[in-house]
Amino acid sequence: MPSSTSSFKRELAEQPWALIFGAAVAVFACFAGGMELQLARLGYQPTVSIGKDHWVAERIRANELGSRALVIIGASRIQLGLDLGVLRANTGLEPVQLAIDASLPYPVLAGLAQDPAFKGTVIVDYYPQTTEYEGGPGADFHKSFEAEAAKTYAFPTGSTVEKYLTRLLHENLRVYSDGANPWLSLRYRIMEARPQNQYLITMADRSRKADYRKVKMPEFYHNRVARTLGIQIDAGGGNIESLLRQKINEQMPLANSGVWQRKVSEMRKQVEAIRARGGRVLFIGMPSSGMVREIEERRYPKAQYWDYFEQNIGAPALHSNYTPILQDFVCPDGSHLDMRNRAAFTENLVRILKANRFL
Amino acid sequence: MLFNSLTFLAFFAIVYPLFWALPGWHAKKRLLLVASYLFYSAWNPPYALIILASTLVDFEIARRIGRAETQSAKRSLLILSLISNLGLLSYFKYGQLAVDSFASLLATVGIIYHAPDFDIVLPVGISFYTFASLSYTIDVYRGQIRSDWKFSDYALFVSFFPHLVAGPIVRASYLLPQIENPRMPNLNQVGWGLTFVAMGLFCKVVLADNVFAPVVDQFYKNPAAEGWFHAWAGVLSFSGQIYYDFSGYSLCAIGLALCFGFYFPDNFKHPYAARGFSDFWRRWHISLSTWLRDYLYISLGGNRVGNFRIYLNLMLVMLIGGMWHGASWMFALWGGLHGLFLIIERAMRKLPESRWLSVLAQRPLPELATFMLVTLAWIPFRATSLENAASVFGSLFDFGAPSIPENAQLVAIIAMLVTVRWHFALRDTSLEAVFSKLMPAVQTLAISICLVTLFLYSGGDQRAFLYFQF
Repeated sequence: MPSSTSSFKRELAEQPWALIFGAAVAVFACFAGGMELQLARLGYQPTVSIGKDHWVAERIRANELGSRALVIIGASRIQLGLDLGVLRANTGLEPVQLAIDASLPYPVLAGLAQDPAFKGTVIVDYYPQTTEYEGGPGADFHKSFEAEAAKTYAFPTGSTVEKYLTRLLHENLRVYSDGANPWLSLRYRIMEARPQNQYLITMADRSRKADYRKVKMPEFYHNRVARTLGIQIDAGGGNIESLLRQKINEQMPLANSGVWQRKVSEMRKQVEAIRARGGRVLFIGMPSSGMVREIEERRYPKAQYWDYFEQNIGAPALHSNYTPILQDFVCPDGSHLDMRNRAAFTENLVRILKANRFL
Repeated sequence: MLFNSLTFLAFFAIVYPLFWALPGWHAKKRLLLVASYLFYSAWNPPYALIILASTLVDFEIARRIGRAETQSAKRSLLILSLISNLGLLSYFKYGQLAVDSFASLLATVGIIYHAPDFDIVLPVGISFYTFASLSYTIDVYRGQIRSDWKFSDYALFVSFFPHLVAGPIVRASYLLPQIENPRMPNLNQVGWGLTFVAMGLFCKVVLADNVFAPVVDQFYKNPAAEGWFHAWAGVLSFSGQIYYDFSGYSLCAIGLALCFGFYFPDNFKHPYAARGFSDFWRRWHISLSTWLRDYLYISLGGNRVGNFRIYLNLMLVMLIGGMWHGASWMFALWGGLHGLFLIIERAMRKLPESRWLSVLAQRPLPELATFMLVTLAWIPFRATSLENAASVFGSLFDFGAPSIPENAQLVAIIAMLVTVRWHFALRDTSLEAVFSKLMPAVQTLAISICLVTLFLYSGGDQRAFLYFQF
């Protein structure tokens, strides 16, 4: 006889299981409930999960909308800066927010250009400084969209159910707000001596609202400037302003390499592909302010970068920093608009796009 | 469907009360059969048909073997079963590797051949359920199990969801009698079952995914750029990751089966305290190693043949065992290393007694040496290529390069040291024996820690169980 697995018998001593599990579940419930209550006390709200699944669902919607789709791609600036309700009301199009925090728009734009099913309008949040880089989360997200779109059967799988349940949980519990998990909420929101306030809310349409009254200034601003410079600072320490000023003064225009120009011409081809199917593409430079704007302008002088891009991209391109009715909007952290300005900024943006017959 | 998913939680929350509510063993078995197919279909619905086809074929072949009057007829039917099962496994698992290897072989003699892209999704758990199914036809052929089981019982044996996608490889001779005889779990079995599930998930989610995996992933991404400390942390962490990932899954499977009143055999018995490699394989993935021993090694002659044949058989079995894990020559290399270790160990046993040997045999030297060699052998198992593996080895012994420990690495190394110490301490006992000796308050604390930490680490990206790919 096969020796090892044919005569196995597990010795299981009797235990007071009702007591053990009753107490363990009570401990768990107290812990989880306590965290939820403490986060509520700190002012946290449950938010929409803004992960890959949500993005893929919106990307599929972009195709389903046909020529009515107004797709927004880019990173956090446009995700925080545009009010989709205002866009919908003023353009008659259906906005689809596909911007991904801390990402580059290129893989998503390339995907839209290659997809014959996409026939809508695209607003690209564009920064010359990022064009030398490739990939990032956008490529990963787009790959997931392609896999989802390639599925031949329509009945729900475990993955569909999992997405639904995850979304249900995340949208109803504070421990998961802003994409955190309970460990991160415990570590950075509950146990932190100076817990972070929830200044950023993610909406069901994937747009986000930032309330900069809830952050500690000027530390928050200084951190953003330091991040743009690529340095680390102790935001609570002294002489930060002068240290940052010194670093900014060291910034020189970056070389306008051939790689960047090739990227622009590559994007031009993508624009042409979308146009050939009846779609439209617009490039928008979202506003920046203060030291962040200064760093960007020192590294990427307008004449060398934006002007070249505007002349060679073959599509309407408009930079908020150089457009009269948009340039006065101030970004409290130097890089993003506050929630109180997004509606007005969006209205002005649509007005100028319409005035130029870009929309 | 992963055991650490919300979908599985919902699935279990529906199936388990239904199991209790349904009257009669017959109805309960039908429910488990439907639930098991639903469990499998949750991943890729059409692929449930492959299990069904495999089940139908083996059931019919075994029935005919049972009825066959001559040994040659029985042998022919067994060969048919082997061809159908191994053919299925080879097509899905090794097809791409075969054509790629063929193309590489041609390229060495100057012939350029572009291998076709298979573009086939590997059915989850195919290695597990084909081996489980094969155990049935072989046992029927050997006369060790009868062949007149009900088809529905046999189908439940193959597809029973706790063991379906990543084992343990439960044999027909073990599970079919349990399925046939009516059973209802008692409160003690349910309590133990849920405890095993909680502990198994803790091993998988907290230890494998959050303590060890980040250190492993960071190191193996670019081993050449990492210093010696990072290298040792990465390599040791993989020993922890694969152990907790797979043993955690096995513990969940054992616990879930117990909740329904079924006993599954242990799949791991403190393997990192093994005293030599034959002992290691009595403690690591026991259901696979015993399967290979009973159905392959013994069939090749076992220990009844000459030394050279024994060594050859050991190597062959370990190479096949390595390749069972996946379609990559790196797995064959891993299996080959273990084959070599087993051969050396066997040869050493034949050496005449000497002072040196008795010193080397003093505890804990053989255990530590086994652990270190097992850990080093995991390198080709985890590495993406031969170059990647060589780079890992290079970093391990590049003591000249600076290597500043990071917190995550220190935590992983401490966790690994605790694991090895734990294995040494509990070498000859079982989890249930240890847990039984604890006071109820400590038992409650242990389960509470599992529940709370599972909650804390919930909500991120779930990593698929490593053994799903095998």
